[in-house]
Amino acid sequence: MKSRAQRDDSGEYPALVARDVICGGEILAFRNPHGEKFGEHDAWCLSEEWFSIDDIRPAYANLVEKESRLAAKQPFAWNPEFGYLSPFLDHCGTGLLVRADLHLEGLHLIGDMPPVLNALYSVRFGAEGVNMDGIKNASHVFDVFTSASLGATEDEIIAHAERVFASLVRQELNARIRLVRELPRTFEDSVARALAILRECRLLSPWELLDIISPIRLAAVMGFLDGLTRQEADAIMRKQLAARDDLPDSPDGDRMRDERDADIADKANHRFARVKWNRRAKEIFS
Amino acid sequence: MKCEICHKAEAETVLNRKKKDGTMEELYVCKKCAHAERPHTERPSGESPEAFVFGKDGDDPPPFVEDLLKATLGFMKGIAEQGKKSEKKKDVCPACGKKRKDFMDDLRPGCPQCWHVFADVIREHLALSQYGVRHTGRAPDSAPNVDICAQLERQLKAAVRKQDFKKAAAIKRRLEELGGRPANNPPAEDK
Repeated sequence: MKSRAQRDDSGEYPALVARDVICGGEILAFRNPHGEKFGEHDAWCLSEEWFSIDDIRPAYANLVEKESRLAAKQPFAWNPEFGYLSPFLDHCGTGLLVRADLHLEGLHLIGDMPPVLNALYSVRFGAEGVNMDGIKNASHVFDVFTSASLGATEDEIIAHAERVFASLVRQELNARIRLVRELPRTFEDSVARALAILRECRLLSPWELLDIISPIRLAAVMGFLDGLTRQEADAIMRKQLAARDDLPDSPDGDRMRDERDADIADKANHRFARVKWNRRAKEIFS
Repeated sequence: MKCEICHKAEAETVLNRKKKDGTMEELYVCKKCAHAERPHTERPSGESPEAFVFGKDGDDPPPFVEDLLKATLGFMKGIAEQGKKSEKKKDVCPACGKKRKDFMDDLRPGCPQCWHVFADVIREHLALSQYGVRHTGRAPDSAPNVDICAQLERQLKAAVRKQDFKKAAAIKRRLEELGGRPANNPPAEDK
């Protein structure tokens, strides 16, 4: 993947590496016991994490090992026509699902997200954004996953996933380059607005923070910011993605929510007070 | 040759009649006398088959027609009831009791057996959303031999074609034991 990222790099901008697009993923296998009623969910959802596209096959090998250990104790519901059986029709066949979290801010900013999503659906992939608190596709981190598992072997499904994820990464990297070359003002505007809100806001919900930090992460990844690294931006995003809005629905809950949002706003004001465009960015955008 | 009963018209047919002492006699008779002797078996010339069977307007049908109709109706009723029974069997999963109507609403199989019972609906749904309609991936070690299942399915089809239902039922049981497809859900034709 690194070689592709280096080839895509125009030379005048900092290197755009694939791992900045793919934030990791999982390979899952859904299994259910033989001869027993199904529950609300699959009885077993075996999973292995992977961190780059090259890791998917080793992760699958680990998954098979895990599955064999379980199969020795409990036979799985299976039939020759539909493969592994599940309470969900889309989990039959191999029962395999490969998913990845992809940060597609570049494609969003150049306005290419709708055709990309349509293309994904047409190749039997699904994509879900983070929809919370009235914000649709917050932060433009998409969970992209295989939506078909019957009629193809495990190898074919994994190879298909590798091709689609690699293609998405390539498109996102091209979108970032295009953004800087052709739409610098759009990029500059989205980052500047986000920084202004983070510096001056008085109340900020976790989901709003997650959404606002997205163009800033992109600028950090591309090496255009001083005072914030990609790792720091990732840590903030991870924290907000993991946060759950579990405050009670009551007047007391509203007060607690305001307190929480005020606390997040204060921290953001302090953290982003000294984050600014660096010299390289100023040269490019001037 | 003249009719042996009326001795007037020409004899046209043979009539077997029981004599008073119990022995049978063979008479060569005309059509009119034959009809007089056996009104329901000898049809007077010119009478349509329908009129012969069902009688003329206002006439009662001959007694054998009533018996024949009863037998036919009984047979057809039996077939209809058998059809209803087999339909009922397909409408509910025998293992978990899930009804076809409920399955059509939520498309959620309640147990592995539901995949057999509602296979027709499942195939339609999967044809739209999946790469193919047949599993081509790995099989678990404990899975039945796919070749044996395929062979049994072929035998099952042949038995149904020959209407050897006893043999078909035995094959179906064997298939179900192996976890393969039961008889009422034949495999989709491979393209």
